[in-house]
Amino acid sequence: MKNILVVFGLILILGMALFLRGYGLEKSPISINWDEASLGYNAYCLLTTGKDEYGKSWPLSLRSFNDYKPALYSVLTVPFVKAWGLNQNSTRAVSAVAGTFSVLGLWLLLSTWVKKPVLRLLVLFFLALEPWRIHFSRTALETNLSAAFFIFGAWCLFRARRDGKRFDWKWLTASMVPLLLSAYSYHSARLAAPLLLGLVLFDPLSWLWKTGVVDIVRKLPRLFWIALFVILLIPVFSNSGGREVMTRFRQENVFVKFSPFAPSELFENNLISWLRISPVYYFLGIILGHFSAYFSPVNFSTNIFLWVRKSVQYIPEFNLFGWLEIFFLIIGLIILVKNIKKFNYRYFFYWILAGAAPAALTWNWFHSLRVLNALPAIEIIMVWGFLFIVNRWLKGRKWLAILLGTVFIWQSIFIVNNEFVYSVWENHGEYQPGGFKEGIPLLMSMLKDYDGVIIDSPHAQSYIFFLFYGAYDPKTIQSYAPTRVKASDEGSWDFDFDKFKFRKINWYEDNKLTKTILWMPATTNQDEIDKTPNAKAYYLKNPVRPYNSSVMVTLD
Amino acid sequence: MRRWRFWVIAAVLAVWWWVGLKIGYPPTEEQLLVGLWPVFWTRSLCFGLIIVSFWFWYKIFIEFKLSSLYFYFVLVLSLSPTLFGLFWLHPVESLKWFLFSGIFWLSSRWKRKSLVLPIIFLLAFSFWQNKEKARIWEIYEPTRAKLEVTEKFIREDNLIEKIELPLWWRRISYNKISWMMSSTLKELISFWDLEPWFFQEIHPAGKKALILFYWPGFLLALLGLYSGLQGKKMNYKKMLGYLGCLAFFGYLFSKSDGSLRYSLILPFLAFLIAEALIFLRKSKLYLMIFLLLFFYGYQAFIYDLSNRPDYWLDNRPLVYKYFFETVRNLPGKIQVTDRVANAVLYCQYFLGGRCDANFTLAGFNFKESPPQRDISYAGFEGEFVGPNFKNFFPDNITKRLTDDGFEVVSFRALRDNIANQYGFNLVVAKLK
Repeated sequence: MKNILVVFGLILILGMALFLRGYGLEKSPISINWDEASLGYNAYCLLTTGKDEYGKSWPLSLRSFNDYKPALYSVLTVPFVKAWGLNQNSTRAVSAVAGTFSVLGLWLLLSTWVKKPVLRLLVLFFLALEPWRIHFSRTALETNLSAAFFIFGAWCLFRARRDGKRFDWKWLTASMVPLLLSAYSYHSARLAAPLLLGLVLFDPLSWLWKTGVVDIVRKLPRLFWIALFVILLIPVFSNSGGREVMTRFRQENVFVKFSPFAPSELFENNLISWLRISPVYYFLGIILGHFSAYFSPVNFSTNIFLWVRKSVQYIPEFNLFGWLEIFFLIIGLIILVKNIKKFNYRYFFYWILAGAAPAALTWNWFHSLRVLNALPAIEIIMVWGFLFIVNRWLKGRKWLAILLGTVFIWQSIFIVNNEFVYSVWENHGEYQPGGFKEGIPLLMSMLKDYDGVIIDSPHAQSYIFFLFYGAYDPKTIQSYAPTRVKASDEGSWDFDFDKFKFRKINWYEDNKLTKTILWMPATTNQDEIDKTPNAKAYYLKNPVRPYNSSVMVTLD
Repeated sequence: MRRWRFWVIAAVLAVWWWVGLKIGYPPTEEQLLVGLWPVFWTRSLCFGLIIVSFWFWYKIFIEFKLSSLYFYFVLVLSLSPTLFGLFWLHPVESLKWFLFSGIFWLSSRWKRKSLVLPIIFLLAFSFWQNKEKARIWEIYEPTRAKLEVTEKFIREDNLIEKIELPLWWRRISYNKISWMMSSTLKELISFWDLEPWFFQEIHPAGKKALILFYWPGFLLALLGLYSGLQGKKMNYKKMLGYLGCLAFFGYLFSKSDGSLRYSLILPFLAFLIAEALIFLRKSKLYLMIFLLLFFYGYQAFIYDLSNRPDYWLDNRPLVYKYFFETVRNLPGKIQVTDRVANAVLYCQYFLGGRCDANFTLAGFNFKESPPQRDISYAGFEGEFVGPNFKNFFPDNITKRLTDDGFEVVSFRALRDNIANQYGFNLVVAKLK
């Protein structure tokens, strides 16, 4: 009976999780960003032609904006596009489901630490409401899908050596499947997954207090598992070309951005400089600093870096976790340090290390999106802190438990309001440009009466919005693939197709055109448009704030 | 303490003193408020306070029966650039550090070592030091809470398309109490930031602050925490808890910026690092590696500070040193801006009796009121050509001023923007 109630409770929490991730995706986040549009449109291309927008048949990586996105997200989106058509809901559905699925993975992980089922349900309930879990599940993000697979892989790996016993090879084998799926879903896991495998298989921290060389040599055959993983990952690189798939890393890595590592104003490449301000010293510091940032409580909460603001990873008010949880994290980290010799604790240190590695090797000090795979491990550490408080302070002090519970409930209400409503105000704009969603259906309905459309948009790769909101015929777009901008080319990724041309509009010159639609920033003078006899303006309202995002002018 | 240990610490502090003399940084406003005598004496006084505080700490370690840690504790403290910053630039913070050490020693002498007295001291000092309230108290101003809550409601109400949540739901999310609660939690969380503790040398956020500890200190602090938590080291745990709490309260009750706000975390971290160094004595190799790295950080920073003092330290004293040394020999009336500090104090310090009625010490803005022909002006570029909220000014400001009819007497570019909207460049000029 008790088991049935627990299962019922679990289903309720999963239902709530799905609702919070899937409800109102057309309104919050209110507009789609270019990466989401690309994932959605490529799913549409795959559905209708079996090829991506460049005409490649069922690829493992989408060339997209020459950033070679992993294709699994788009592939999984195909059924949703088939069912609901190409829109924000269908594009974001995979992320919402993955985010819910991930809560189930968390339940499995919690079973080792929270033995009482009711308390486990309670912990799961609040963790399912973490700001990062809701926020990233309401946007089409490959990394969210990857994190959902990763948690299952990491759980299997934990089971493979729980309590520091001998390896259970069945669990180890089982972990390969979700870890590989994770690596096929997002770039970060391509480093994080084999690294976690390596850390668990070789357990390098234990070398500090165990016998050294002989033990390591004896463990060398374990390299087989990492080799197997890498071999199974080769298709990702061979399918699209290794150099192209590594494009993102080449742009963002720490080695390029921080060179020469020592203060550049003082460093001269001579012996004195190498002795006094050695780049080696600073480089080690940078790497350690980057890793430590993922153990720094403030970074998970109030410390919001410049590159996070106005980007898809920005969660106003919170950053990643609720405020209360940060205090549990602090206690949990102390517990981790104290018990580092126990494998069950050490494992979560390895998990964070592996999960943070892809982010730590890029130039950003802290990058939420790239570290998503490690966040469940952070949550488990918070749970240790929570259990410590429960066992030490809350036993026999009902009033304190009620007070804590009340604050948690208030915080949860705040989180939902924040994510559903307030985030729209904060996040709309730069990475969620307005006007396209509102104007493109209108433009498409008039297109047959005009010979050309000229688009002047300040937003990068704005062509993708026209493909997405217009559900543009994939075959037409695929026919332009040979002439499209390559990764090595400079400038915008926009390209002219069919009747569409992307360029700056000079109103005084272009108003002489006929049978043409101009799409311009709303700053163009309305009086000037009114003075032009064959022009009619359609102002495209911003969906969030009371101003116009763009203006569409038809020249008959 | 063994004699060689004394000499090691003395050598470390002597090097700091030598660096201070080498960079010859002008006094801060805080130092001038103490007295208008040569800043050397203020610095010596502060140095004395720090030395005496080391004696208090010696007594504290004895009270906690942890005297074996004392040498490493003081060594690590002495290596910290923030400690140098205290006695070289910040007399009030030095006084706080001195009094805090003394009061903590007094309270540690009681059988039931209590935190109450040091916390009361921190609170009282905070009210005395901050004419305006410390950040934590600003949260509890009802008018501010009301303003913030109203702002949130307005923003949400103005959304054209949105998910409608019931009003009671939104009321629970946003009300004065909930705003105060969330702001308090945020303020409490902001303390737990590893970057200023250990990674100021390399942290890209670019906040102006001195280093608390060099990055190898992070690994040592972790090791110290691990070592201290093993077994039944009750005294160690007790003192660690006390130092942690006091660092936390010291942070909360402070209004200072950068590393100064963290000045009371120095003993907490130094204590952890000291424990790690004791722990590492079992393995001489590891001990040597870490000491080498830590001292390397010390010498690298000294080299850096000696060559770029303006990168690490407050630029305001440089501004006034430049202004008053430039205008010292100019004839006629002179106006020097007071936009970034108390110019009267600096005038009296640098010019002494020559700081007379010929000097007007006030900010100016020639876009609002035009310059007078018989006055030489010393100020930021934005004061001459009008402020710009993005700090965007012509590349060649001297040419622009010459074109505007000024004779530019002197010009200097500053590293940091300290006068928001008024630019990076300092100008001394008068109408032709």
